[in-house]
Amino acid sequence: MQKDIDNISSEQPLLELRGAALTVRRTEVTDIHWQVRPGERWVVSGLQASGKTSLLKVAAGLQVPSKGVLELFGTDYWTANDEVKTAIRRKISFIFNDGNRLVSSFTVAENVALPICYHENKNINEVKDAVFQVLSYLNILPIANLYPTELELHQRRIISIAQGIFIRPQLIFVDDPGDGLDVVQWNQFKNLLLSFSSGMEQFGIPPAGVVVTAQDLRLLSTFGTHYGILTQKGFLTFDGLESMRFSEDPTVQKLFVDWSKK
Amino acid sequence: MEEESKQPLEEANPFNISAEEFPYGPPPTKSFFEIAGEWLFSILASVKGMFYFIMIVLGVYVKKRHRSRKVIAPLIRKEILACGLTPLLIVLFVSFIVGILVVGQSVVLSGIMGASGNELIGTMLVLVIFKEVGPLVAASVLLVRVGVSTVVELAAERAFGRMEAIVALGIDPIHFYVIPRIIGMGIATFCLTVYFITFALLSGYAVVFFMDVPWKPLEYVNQIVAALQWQDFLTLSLKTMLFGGLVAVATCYESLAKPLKTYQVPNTIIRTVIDCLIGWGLIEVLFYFIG
Repeated sequence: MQKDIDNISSEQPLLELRGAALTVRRTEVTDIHWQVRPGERWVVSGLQASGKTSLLKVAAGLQVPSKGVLELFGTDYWTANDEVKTAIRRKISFIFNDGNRLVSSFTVAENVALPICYHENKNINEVKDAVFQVLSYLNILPIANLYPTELELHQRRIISIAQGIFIRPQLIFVDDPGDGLDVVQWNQFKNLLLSFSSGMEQFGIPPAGVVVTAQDLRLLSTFGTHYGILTQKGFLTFDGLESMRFSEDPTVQKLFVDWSKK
Repeated sequence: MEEESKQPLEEANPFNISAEEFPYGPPPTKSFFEIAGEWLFSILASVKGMFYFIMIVLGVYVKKRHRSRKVIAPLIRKEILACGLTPLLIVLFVSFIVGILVVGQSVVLSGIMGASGNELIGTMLVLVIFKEVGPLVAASVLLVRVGVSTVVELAAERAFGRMEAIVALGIDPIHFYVIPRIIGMGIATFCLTVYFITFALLSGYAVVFFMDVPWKPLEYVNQIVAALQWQDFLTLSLKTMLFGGLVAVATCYESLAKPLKTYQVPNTIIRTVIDCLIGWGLIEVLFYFIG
């Protein structure tokens, strides 16, 4: 089974939701069919409380869908055993929107090294050089010995990226990345996500599938290769912004057409 | 005249809220039996929940005891240091007081009873300090000084979604957060109890010395050693580790096992203290029957 997860081809979807449903504040979004392949950059949007974060969590295997099947790296995630689930988790990076999810009693360097140290039974000294290499690539080496509570939101998100580089993920989920960042910070963050999508040879990371949620599509208009919109009818997918222009769905019109008219 | 009649109403309803705006009125009062029944059922639910939690923790420990040792072992060491050193001064202070009180009273009692009373002092010291007060005081101080802050820390980890982040990294939160705390608190309680007993006996001898009782240090030690049996050491080790382990289980269960909001944290602390008191009572009963 481990072999199947490792030997996934570039044509196979990294993530597949089939007939999935999720409950968002008493309403149910049903019949979600979605595939994400390596190198694709998905922007998931919708109105306030439409279930963007829930969909992201369902797709990342952090929340059980109320119906349907979630396949990650060709494996049915929720019926897999613990070993397989852990192997799958090691290929996924999830960056939460508040950036406040690091272990508070660990330093930045320890937080970055944690997943590798835990899964490969190493102590921090054994991976110190690799951690410092990643931190200097991201220009955050000076904060290596600080604790998460001493950092700003932007820095905490960059640390999550550093953690991501360190685990060499093939699938990255980012919840509302533009929230709380200024233009310079957002551009740096966006460029890092683009690097993941095209692959980072210096760190041995293959082209990954990147999924981000966004309240405001304007921020991500040049980012996505594919778009998914949560509407009252369900989850609608589009290959690029142009295909959204002709949609008659009122939510899509609100999110895209109204904005493009401005 | 009109103003006078309005006055009492304004006092009773200072914000002038009309019945239409707030139609619900005060919550209905509950009878003593209803309150007692709810309390009893919540305790039973807690005991049941903790039992399941312990089973899950044991399962994870058995399955993952050899895994990620280079991450988990430093966490255990950190926990032993934090739990063993933070409450040490309080434990030593309490042991000083207990030593003075118990030995002082025993000396007075032996004066009344004559020679036969002298023989009882060792037995009394072992019974009170070694078997009963030592483990209980060490665990109580641990609960107040470390357990409460652990509940707040873990409840915040849960409320802010850090557990979810740990799961997202493929790390088992029971393995990472709970097991180091249970092992660390169990060992720390044992160490604190040893410090407590040693310091209480030393401060006790200081009382003997200052009260001009003609005992040499060797006689004092001999009295205690004569009253001790090998089973007492086994009982002490087991009891202290269970007491400390229970503090860890209760803190982790109350703060991690259920979804929490930040405003629920104070209640979680109260529930943890109640869980520990009930658990210690049950452990005492168990040891009483074992003998």
